[in-house]
Amino acid sequence: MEWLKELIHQLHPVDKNAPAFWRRYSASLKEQAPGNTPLAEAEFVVFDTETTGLDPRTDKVLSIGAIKVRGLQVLVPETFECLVQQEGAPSTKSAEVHGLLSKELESGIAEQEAVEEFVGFVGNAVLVGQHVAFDIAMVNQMLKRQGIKGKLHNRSVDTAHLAIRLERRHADSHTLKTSEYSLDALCERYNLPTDDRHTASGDAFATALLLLKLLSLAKKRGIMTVGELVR
Amino acid sequence: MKPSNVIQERVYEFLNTYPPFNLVDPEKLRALARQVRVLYLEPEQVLFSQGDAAHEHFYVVRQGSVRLEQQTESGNPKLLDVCDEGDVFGVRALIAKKNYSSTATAAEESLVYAIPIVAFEPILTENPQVALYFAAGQPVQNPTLRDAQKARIGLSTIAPSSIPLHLEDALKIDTAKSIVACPPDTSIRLAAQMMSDKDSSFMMVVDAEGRPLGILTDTDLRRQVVAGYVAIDDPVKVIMSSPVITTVPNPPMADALIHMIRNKVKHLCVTTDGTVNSKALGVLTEHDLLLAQGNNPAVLISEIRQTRDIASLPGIRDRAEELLLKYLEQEVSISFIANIITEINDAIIVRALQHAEKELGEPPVHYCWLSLGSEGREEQLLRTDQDNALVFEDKNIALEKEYQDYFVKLAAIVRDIMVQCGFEKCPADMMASNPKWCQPLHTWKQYFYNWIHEPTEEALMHTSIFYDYRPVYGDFSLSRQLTDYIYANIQQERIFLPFLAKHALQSPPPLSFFRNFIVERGGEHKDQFDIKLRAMTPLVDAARVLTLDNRIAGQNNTFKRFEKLAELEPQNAELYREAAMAYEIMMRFRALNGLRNKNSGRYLNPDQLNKLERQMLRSTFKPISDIQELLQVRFQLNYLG
Repeated sequence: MEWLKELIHQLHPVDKNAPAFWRRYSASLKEQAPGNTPLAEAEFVVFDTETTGLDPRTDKVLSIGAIKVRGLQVLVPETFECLVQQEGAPSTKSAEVHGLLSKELESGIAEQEAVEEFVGFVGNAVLVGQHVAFDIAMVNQMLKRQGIKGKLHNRSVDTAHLAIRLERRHADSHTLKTSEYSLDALCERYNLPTDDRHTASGDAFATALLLLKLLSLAKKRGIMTVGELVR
Repeated sequence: MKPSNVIQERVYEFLNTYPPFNLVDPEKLRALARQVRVLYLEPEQVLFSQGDAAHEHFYVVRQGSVRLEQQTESGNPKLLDVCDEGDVFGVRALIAKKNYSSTATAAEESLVYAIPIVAFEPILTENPQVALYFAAGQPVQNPTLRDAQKARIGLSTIAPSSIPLHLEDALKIDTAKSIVACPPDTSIRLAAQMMSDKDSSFMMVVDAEGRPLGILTDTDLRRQVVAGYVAIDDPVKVIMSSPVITTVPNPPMADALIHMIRNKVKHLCVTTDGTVNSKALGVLTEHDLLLAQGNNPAVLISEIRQTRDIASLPGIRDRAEELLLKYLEQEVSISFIANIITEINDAIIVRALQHAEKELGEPPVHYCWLSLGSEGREEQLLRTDQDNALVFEDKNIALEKEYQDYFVKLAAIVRDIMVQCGFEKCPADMMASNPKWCQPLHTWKQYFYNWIHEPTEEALMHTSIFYDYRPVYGDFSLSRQLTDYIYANIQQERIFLPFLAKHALQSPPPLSFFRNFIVERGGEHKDQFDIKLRAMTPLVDAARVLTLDNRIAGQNNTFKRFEKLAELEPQNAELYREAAMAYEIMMRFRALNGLRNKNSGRYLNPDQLNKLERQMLRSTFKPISDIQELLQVRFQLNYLG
């Protein structure tokens, strides 16, 4: 399916009236590394969003944390972090979990600025996250609110799915428990440090370390290229 | 410059807990932390090789451990260091702008921080403390010293302040003295004259080739001659003690001491090859040992044996504890310490039983006192609780109830004396004073028969406790009969050993992941580490089941069991030796912890351990999982449901 998506995307003409950041993004995506790029040379952006809730259509992004992984190294210098000002952001349970008080959020940046900077940071890297489809949908929703006619079209890897695949649990998928593939459970199982969870950045960092571990496992399973990884 | 974000702040906080980074100004360290890259290394992955050009980064272990090894001229790699969480490596080559002088290999799954040297150099030049740390603190410059240090870790204690000294190695007893000897036909008068002339407390009696036939001590002379049992002109062979207990020349202190204690003698004859079949070279006396050693366990034991007043036993046992602390701090080997303490404890039990027999009158039938659990395994360093049992002979079934009444009373007296001496009662009442565990041989056989053929959870637990029995006093043949019976039954019941092996795997693991000790979640010992349950019991259980599987009888001690197993299974020898060493280290940790905190020593507080101790303790956990894997495979436990 990946090739089909790419094809359709390429047929899409770049919107000449789109803001500069989006035109840059669309252009960079055309130079996306080919599917046969070795994993050791690929660039990944591992990210996580904290949101007001779980419905991408109505809920909003409160913060984004992201870090790059390149050359099989987690690059602490290349991190992205922002709090997003959301007017009238409903105070939900989620806000309690993440400890983001409305006051803190006021110190954040406007959604427009946040999404521009984030898309600029991401470029054409492979997007990685725990249940990454949700976070991508949340970002797409931000784009939509900013009047962008388009969505993120990066390749993406869901660390939970990848773990299931590498552990060869597909066959007995009916016995899988979602709790076994939560970020906490995966970090514990793979002996990874889990300090400072439940901030977007903290989760992104933990997920990046998890990605290193999974990439090493993938290599043992004969998965050598980006194309094989995102499948 | 932008302020650090959450991720960079976490990296900063990690670095800031370890030297030399904690010496760096916080803002400069934050700037450094922002430059870090994180690498994942799989086990045995090489990060850099000896002779490689220096990378642009140096490294800090975030999690896991990395070995630094140097290729020597002989071709064998020499272990320079094992870098653990927070350790810095790969710096020297960068500073000196030379190639790496060693190879860095991940000893396990590891996360490593790479820090660019360009960012670090300004700190190094500006901050003399940091520079000094690398100049003086980096160990790689003096590998031999480091080796010594590493070797020491194997025997180090919670207080690494004491001098590394293996008493039993260091104190070789000098036996190169001229020997006072005579042929067997020499008259007692002449022998006494010679002894007096040479101011000797003994006379060796030797044959024409100088081989020892017997020994004559001043005590023998007093007892026999002065009391008038023999004539002064009789030959010495009439009154000499024979055969002579012999030893090799310059024996280790420990061996000599144990020899004397076991054989209840005060003189050992030194011969060329250590047996009575070679030439006598000299005599080693208890006095020699006393001089060499100061406070002597043999003295304690003979006091226990000789004391008329049973109330003096607790005081003697307290002195033994001082001796224990001294031994532990002097890093005397655990097997030696365990031997000595076991002899002392046994002597107290024997003395208590003799006292009880005197109170109650002669026992109606033969019996044998069995020590169980850690005392049965000769591993009880601290005075933890009593575990014992009593077996008496099958004689007259009709009178068994009476016999049992007598022995239960006997055991109760012993139990109370032991309590006086600091051994608490067993909370589960596994003591001979409990009628259930004070039974004739046929009932004991029945117990084991049931446990072996119906291995329920409770039965397996009982087997674990009762199987490690050791006869201490009385008729040892009763214990031997029971052992033979047990082995015969285990041979018949093939399912028993797999069940016992499965039981041995049930102890919870010591570490959540490599870096964190699993501590108790609640209760009195919240946040403490249960070294007994999580680290020692798995090894004890594994040693027991493997010993049974190999039909090794009469070896109860966990590390000796592993040594024996290593002999029998050369393919696993290395693992067994590691397990034995790990167990000894754990015993030392526990004993020291107990002595310091005046308790059973079972619960350690991981936060109170220093890095070295944590590292050492963790390294002892490796053999646990390896041994458990071996059990898993050998007994095919995957199929056992």
